[in-house]
Amino acid sequence: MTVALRIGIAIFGLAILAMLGFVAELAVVRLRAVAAGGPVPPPAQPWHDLVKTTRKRRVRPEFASPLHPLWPLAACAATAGATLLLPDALLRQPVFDLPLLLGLLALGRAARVLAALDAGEGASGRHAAREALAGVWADAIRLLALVALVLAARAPDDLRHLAILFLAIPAALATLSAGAEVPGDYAGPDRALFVTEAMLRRVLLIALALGYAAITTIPRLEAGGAAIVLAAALAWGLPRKWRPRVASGMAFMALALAAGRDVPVESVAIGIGIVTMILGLVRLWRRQVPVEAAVLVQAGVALAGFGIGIDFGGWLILVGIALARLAVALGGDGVMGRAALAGLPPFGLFAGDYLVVRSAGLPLGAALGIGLALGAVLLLVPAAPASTIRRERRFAAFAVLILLALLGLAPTLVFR
Amino acid sequence: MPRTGRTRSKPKLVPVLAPVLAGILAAASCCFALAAWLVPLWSARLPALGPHGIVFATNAGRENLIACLLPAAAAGLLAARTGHAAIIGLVFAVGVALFAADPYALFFAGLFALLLIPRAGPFGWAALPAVLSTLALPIPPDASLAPLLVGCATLVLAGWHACAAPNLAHLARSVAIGFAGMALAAIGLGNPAAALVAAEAAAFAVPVLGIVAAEIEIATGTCSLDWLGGLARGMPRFSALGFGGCFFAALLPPGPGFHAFRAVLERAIALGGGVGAIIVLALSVGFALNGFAMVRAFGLTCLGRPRSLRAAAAEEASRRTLTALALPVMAGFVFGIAHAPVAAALLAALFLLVRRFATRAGPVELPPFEAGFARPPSWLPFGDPATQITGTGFASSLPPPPRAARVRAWIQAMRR
Repeated sequence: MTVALRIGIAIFGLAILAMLGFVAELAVVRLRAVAAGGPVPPPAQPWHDLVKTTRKRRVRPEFASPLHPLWPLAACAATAGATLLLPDALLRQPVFDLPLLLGLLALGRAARVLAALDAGEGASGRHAAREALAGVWADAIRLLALVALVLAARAPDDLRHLAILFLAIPAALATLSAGAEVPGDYAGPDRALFVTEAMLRRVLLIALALGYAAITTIPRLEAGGAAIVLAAALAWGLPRKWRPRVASGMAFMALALAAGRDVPVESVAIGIGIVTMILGLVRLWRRQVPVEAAVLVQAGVALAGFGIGIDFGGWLILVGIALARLAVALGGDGVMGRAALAGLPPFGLFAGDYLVVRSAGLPLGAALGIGLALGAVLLLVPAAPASTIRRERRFAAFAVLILLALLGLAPTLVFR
Repeated sequence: MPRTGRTRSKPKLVPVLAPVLAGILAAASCCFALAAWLVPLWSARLPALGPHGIVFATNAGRENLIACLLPAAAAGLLAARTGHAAIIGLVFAVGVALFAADPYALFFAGLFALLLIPRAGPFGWAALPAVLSTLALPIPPDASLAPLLVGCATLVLAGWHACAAPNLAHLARSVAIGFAGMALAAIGLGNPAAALVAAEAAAFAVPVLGIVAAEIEIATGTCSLDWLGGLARGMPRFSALGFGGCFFAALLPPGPGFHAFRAVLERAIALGGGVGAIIVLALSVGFALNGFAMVRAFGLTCLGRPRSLRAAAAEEASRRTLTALALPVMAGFVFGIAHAPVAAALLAALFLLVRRFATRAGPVELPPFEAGFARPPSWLPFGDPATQITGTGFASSLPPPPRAARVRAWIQAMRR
């Protein structure tokens, strides 16, 4: 491919992406308006806002440094440069300049943080600190997820490739929310540059993820679409505090799956399950939100169950976790809820745990059993007094616990 | 009759000689860089030195490294006000360490360099990755897991320490150790060329950070991040050159740090498997943490409002210091642009384009906004420092890095 052709493709791609950026911005604005119950803005609203912003005067805070006007230019140039790389990246799959793309995105992010710090005000300083922390997560997650996609695209196979797509694409897209606000005291064309940079970055990541899904899995484009839906669910459903942690876990798992190509998926599931269980035990030992830690222990056993091939046991545990978590949410962090989460009879989690541990064989089954026992002891010993159960929801909580107990009895009845 | 006039003391020999030596070293670096392309590889033997004689030899990578270290040495010589003899000795020691293919000379020079590091300041730290990679280069590829794991752990821990660094000297040391970790990881990957690029990047970045720390301590009495700020107003050229050092250490394109990061990452992606995944994980965390640390350091030191009266009163550095800083910064940019000319040209063109079309009129001065706080007293014309975010506050959302004292206390507690 000649240089001129590549430059032409890059400029055409930039124009297309800029248009898509407006479309994405419009979608976000309309969704926000619908969620807030207000009137839906006209389709050209983002364009009008941008034009209106550019017509205003630029401002300069009194304590700003001589570098103050350079930050919006640097941020916009870096992200536009990354956008220019995108068509080339998608055409030359799976080998392309991934480090340069990530480096330019990080450069844009650094310019935004420095712009927020430049005014020298308390509020914008706090904003810069938050932005910088979000940038740490975003940079690490993007790199892990995109490298996992590059490794997966080399030799696509069925199950593993699908799993990597489902893990890596939502993880990469979860970093979209970082750096969406205009930093510091910027107005006029400077502010418009920051807005444009945020739009370009958003559409760049979406296009990169969609492009990967489309190019590497053309026969199963629906998988890419489902991964995008999962990403949206992740972005809207999870609390903001948990988003980077969940996304980094997903990116790490995607990388582990992509790197361990010689290792069967089942073994990877067992390994991740054991690591998750150990993580839960460590959190229980350190008294860090015991209910969530117990959920981690049980989820680890469920993953190990899926790896062994005991799908029924795995699903039973997952359903049990959901019901027990609901019971705790309704009735408080009492002894009964903790017993249900610890996998004690007669609750449903016990049935799933029993099926998995019995089928796992001696070394793995013993390890899982010891982990479960340790988790139960750690969860129940410092149990809160029963008075913490909220009286107004006591009936609902007991109803859920009875349902959970019936779930525990079900396998016995079924297998008899 | 009392003497009223000031007597002029006779200038000492070493301060007069230092700029001359620095100039010779800078010229030597240019000659050496030129010779790297023109002169074939060579070796020489000195049989009278050491138990078995000393062998000096160049290989395909080392001359580039030496060409990078020489401007760093020149900068160190030019900026240092004390301890010139130590620096000159260190230059020779590291030169021997880089050239020698003989283990005796290597360890002799390495230990000599370590002895001199406390006095030699920034150049000593800049030479650390070079000495370490020289020591690790002869390790056979089949025994490379140890340098790989040590390098990855060092990279992540150094980045973590850089994020929480209380002062600029600590930051410069952390950056040097981080680059050493990256070089070791590259050697573990079986890619000595990437290790040399990492050592070269350290040779450009660390002296700048070290000289900046020393000069700021002289100008303001401290190099603690909690008491600095707003230096770009009083020391604009010095801050611009300091930004170059931070830029190199942040691993952002098109600086030399980015090329080191890119060389190691591309090799890790090409390798794949478990080893590649470990490197990718360490690189992603190190990349994100280094970006955070450098944004924090530059933003809190040079941007915003001063956090102490001495920071507010700081004046521009001497021409000698500015020249010392300009040497490695210019050399680093030349290195970066030579490694990625298209990306650098693209960024520059986009920057100029955006500036041409986005900047219309000069900014309006914005009156200071105290964010609801009371007006500061008249003896604090730059505002009350208590209302601004400090270095400690900026890094408070990251967990504190493990320190030797804390680990020792933890081991003692475990023993009890």
